[in-house]
Amino acid sequence: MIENIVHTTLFYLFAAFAVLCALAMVSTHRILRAALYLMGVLGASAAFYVLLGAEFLAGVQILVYVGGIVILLVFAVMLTSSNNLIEEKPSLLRKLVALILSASFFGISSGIFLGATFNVSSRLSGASSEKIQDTTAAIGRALLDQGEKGYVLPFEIISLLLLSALIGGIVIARKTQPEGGK
Amino acid sequence: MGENLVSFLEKTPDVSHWLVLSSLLFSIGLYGLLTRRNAVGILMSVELLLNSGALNFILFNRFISPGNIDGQVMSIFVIAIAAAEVVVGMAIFVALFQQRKTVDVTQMNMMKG
Amino acid sequence: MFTLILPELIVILTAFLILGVDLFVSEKNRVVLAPLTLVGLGAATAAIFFQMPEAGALFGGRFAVDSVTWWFKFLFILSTGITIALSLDMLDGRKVLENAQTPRLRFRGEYYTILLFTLSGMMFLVSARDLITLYVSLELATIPLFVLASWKRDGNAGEAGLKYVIMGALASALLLYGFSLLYGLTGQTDLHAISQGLTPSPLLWLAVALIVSGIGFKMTIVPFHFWAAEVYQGAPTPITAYLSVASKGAGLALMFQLFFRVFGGFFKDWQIAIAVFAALTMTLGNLGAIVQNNIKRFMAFSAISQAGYMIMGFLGPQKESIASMIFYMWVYVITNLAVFGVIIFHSNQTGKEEITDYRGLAQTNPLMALGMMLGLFGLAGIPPLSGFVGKFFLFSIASATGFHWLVAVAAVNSTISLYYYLRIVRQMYIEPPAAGAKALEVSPVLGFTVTTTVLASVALGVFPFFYNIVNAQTSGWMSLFVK
Repeated sequence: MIENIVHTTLFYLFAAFAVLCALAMVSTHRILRAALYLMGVLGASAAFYVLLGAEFLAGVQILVYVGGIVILLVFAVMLTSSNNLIEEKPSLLRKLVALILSASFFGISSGIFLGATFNVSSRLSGASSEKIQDTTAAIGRALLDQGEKGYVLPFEIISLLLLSALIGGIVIARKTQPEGGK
Repeated sequence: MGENLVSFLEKTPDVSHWLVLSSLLFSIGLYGLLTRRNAVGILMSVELLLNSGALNFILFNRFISPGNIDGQVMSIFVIAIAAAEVVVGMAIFVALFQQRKTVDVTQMNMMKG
Repeated sequence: MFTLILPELIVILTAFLILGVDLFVSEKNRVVLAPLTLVGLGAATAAIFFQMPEAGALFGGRFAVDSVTWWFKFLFILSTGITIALSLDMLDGRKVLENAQTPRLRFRGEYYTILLFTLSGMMFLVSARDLITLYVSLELATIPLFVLASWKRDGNAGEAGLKYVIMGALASALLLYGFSLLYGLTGQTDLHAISQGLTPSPLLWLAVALIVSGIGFKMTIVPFHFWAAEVYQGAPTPITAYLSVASKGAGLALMFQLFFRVFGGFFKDWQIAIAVFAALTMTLGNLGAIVQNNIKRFMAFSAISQAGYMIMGFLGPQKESIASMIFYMWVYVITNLAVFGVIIFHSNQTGKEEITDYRGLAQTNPLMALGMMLGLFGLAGIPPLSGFVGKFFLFSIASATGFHWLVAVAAVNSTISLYYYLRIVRQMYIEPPAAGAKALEVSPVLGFTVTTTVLASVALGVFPFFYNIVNAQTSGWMSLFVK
């Protein structure tokens, strides 16, 4: 029982933290602080993953997302900001439209989610033998398995994607040299 | 009062609680995407959207089909795709900044028909 | 079994080969890269023909080949090949073009490599049979295009890249959220298993709405079309051509995957939405095209309205809808590339992109003007050109499913489109050339490409041979998913 209480408390704590960080991220006018708040949301998501039993994903989230992508975004901010890293305020109309759109999305979707019935696996509470215990090993096996349950094809495709993003990024961001070499 | 709280907390959050959380994060990301003027800020909001998508995959993996690992694998791919998107986006923004000295999306109107 | 994935492997290996060769040759010798790429594409095409009667699956059913995938892959390879032919002059900086106004594109090796990577992404997209492979290959087909759109080093290309990256990222995030709901509804990632497990519910409609808006960005369906004009205008012209054909083809392939394979059981529920989207897209695309002055923006709106015609094939499970859509896509790709060939020829020589810059082209370069006219008439759908035949098949699907009002809207729109395509023809044939205008030099590559694409576009309409083959091979495809 105490396990459940801790679980639920942690869920609400981290959820509140994530939502507050997200709100701060979209409302701050200092773009570097927004990156910091984004880090908070992503870190809280890592905690969610632990609560959901995906420990490996939590590690990946911290390492790649928080440690890599956000740092990259910070670099992008530094390299593209001229006026003191402060963003000008959006127009009121834009804010209003955005508010209406996002609030209505939240209203509609959460209404649907709360009313929907999912065929939640009954195995969840009872016999835990069906549940995969060692998710890290299972993910590792799945990524390189060529069979029915394997993901070797998307794994290879994503390596091509990362390679082409790398090449493209270098080509685009490279300093223009005078028309030489011809 | 205390008993109510305990009985409330004893019931672990189920799938719809998680979904509402992810849709709240998604909506906030959507708001940021529509109001931000700095292109890097917009990219950050997109990260929020992708992150809530990944969260969905993991929570469905946990609640709907705990017997396999598909959702978690998808989330790994989503993280990798987000990285690729940020790399490309950053390169484009930096190159654009060298030309225009701004990445404010409301000033992107040099082309008009 | 291994031959099933051979075309993709050839494309990927060619990409790596180009990347390697690019490292070791001097800038002058890099002209060999384009022929190498084209040889690779030819080999991939040959591999497709080699596998033609064979259908099957690899990787535990994640990758499958059937009659529809052949034709899509062939189309993607063809459009990539023609795009490379169209970019050649800009990349190599031909001698004949030394008076050219537009700056040449740089980094040839990387350009071809990235183009080939997007091609492989599109090919995997058609063959993917589970959500994860589908999403990942869609991203491989999309993200490198952001880079290609901002390949030129000027502010406009950067602006185009910025808009494309933001819109593309938003679209893929919406699509991802929709996919996650599909996964949640069924607990499956296999497309077939998902379609078996789906039952109508509000949650399903939310997922469909998110997925449709994601696809809408890719296919430039109104109201998700607004990015197209600026991206098309700012991108290098060959990439504009590529975006208007290959990217749209990938969008159509994605719709095939999702609407037939996954949502095939709910035809009745979404056909009215498709009809409304089609009507809106063709009408607003046409209205937008009328007021444009820049030829690339003009082609963007023309492409938007063509997308409206294309999705008419999703209206109902008619026997011929698969063949009609694939045929129309082929016609559109070849004809559009022919028009873009002339646009690239013109802008390479003059550096100008306004519609009024084309005045008197019929007197200075009569053959190019003729090619442009045939291409534009093909897009407008004037009989006996192929565009007419393609539209005829699509219209007959709409009327067979009972959407007579949509046929009327589409017919009116075809007439409007004739008006604005004629605007360019009028500039070329009726307006006198600008004072002192000389004949523009036609480079051999562009001359050859425009000639063959125009001839192919006319031939597709005159000879029923091609349509019959596609129809014979794909007629049974849909009965697998749609009851």
